[in-house]
Amino acid sequence: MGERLSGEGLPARRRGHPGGTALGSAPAGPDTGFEARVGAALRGDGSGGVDPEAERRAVAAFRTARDSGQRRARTRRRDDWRPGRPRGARLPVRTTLSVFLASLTLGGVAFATMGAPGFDGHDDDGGGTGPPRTPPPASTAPRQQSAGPDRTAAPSAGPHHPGTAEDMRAHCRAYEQVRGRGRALDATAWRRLVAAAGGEDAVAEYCAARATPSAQPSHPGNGTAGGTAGGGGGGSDHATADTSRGGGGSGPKAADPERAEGKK
Amino acid sequence: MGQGGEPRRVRAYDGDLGAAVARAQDGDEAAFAAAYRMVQPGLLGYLRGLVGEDAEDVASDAWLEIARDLGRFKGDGAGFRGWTATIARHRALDHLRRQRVRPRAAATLEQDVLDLPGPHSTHEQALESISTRQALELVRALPRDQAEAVLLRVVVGLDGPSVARVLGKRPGAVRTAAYRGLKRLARQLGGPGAADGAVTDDGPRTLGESK
Repeated sequence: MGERLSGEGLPARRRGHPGGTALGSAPAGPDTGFEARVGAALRGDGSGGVDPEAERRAVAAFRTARDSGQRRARTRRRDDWRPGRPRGARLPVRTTLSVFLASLTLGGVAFATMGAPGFDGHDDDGGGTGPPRTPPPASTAPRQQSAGPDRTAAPSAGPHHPGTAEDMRAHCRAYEQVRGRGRALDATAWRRLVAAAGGEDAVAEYCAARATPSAQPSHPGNGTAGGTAGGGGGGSDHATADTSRGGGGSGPKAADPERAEGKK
Repeated sequence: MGQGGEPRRVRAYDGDLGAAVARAQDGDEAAFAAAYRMVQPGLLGYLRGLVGEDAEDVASDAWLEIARDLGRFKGDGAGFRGWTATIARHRALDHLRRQRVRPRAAATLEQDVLDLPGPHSTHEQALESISTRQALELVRALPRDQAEAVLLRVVVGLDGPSVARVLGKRPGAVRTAAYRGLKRLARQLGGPGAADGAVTDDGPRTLGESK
């Protein structure tokens, strides 16, 4: 091997060199001497070294960089050519994969953590009620997003989450419109609403109960009239507005409970 | 296997190069100049294969960046070759993108080829220049991936994994590309003189003439 090496390198560099007679070993391979010659040719080995002017410019750039204190810049991954990492080209793939897997794992853990109380709360709310509650697993995340507020709002009637309460009122209004229209009630949102109310028949009452308490925080001026009995101008206006806005086109049965609640 | 003696010959200088780079990183201007002289020919050859007559300009740009980022570099002499080749390659690709010129544009090549033989006077240098012209022509006629693999290995003197890293490809793919490129070069170079077994015929004949 070593003998072959010396036979390849020397004659390729200087073909006129006396050492080139060792080229008797050239038939060892079609690439060997040729490869060296191509390299020497393209490097311009025979044309007398580097351009001094270009070298001067490079050195000037070096001096500028050195004097401006940029030499201690951070080493990026692409600047690290230490031989200790021969598989450098593959490292990013592996790193990317690890990060991806880790994010999957963490995401799964977070997802599972979120899901656990949601199911509990749901059982508390609608435990033992008739409506079929077998949603696909994918719907668990949206489910307990609103299941949480439900749980807190139902017993305490505290309007801690006006936004979600607003959603629920919207659901109530829409519910009245879709009721009796075939399978629309099979949709997850309705099943959730029905389950939260504790049965299909209880939805109207449930919605009515939810309409009033959330009317309070939206009218701070009415705050002294605590409780549903207040029935101040603001409160009832709001409830009426809700009903008229959402109940357009719905049957009288739909608007009744809310109106009754508003008048109370 | 078919790596030949060239990369190994280059590697013989890598110890010196590594030392020079380390001193340059400590601020030694002369060491930087030494490293430049060791690396520049290979870099220029590689760029010549990529961008033709603009190689000098592109190399100049590359060296500005090399000088600026030298403090970031970590590695030995061989690593420095790979690092600088990566920078030069990026500059070359930028250049090509800017110019919207194909890497193997015929006009540039012709120009380049005509310019090269000029400064040579002696018989030996003339032979050398012919082979430079031939080599340049042939390398630039190769498919891009093969040309780059050949240039980085043969001209810059990188080993397989380093070539792969510079090109951002898998080592196996790069090895194959280099092998095919070299094989094709050898066949083509033998074209005018010998039918095949080009190099084995070519080498001794050139030797005999130049002696």
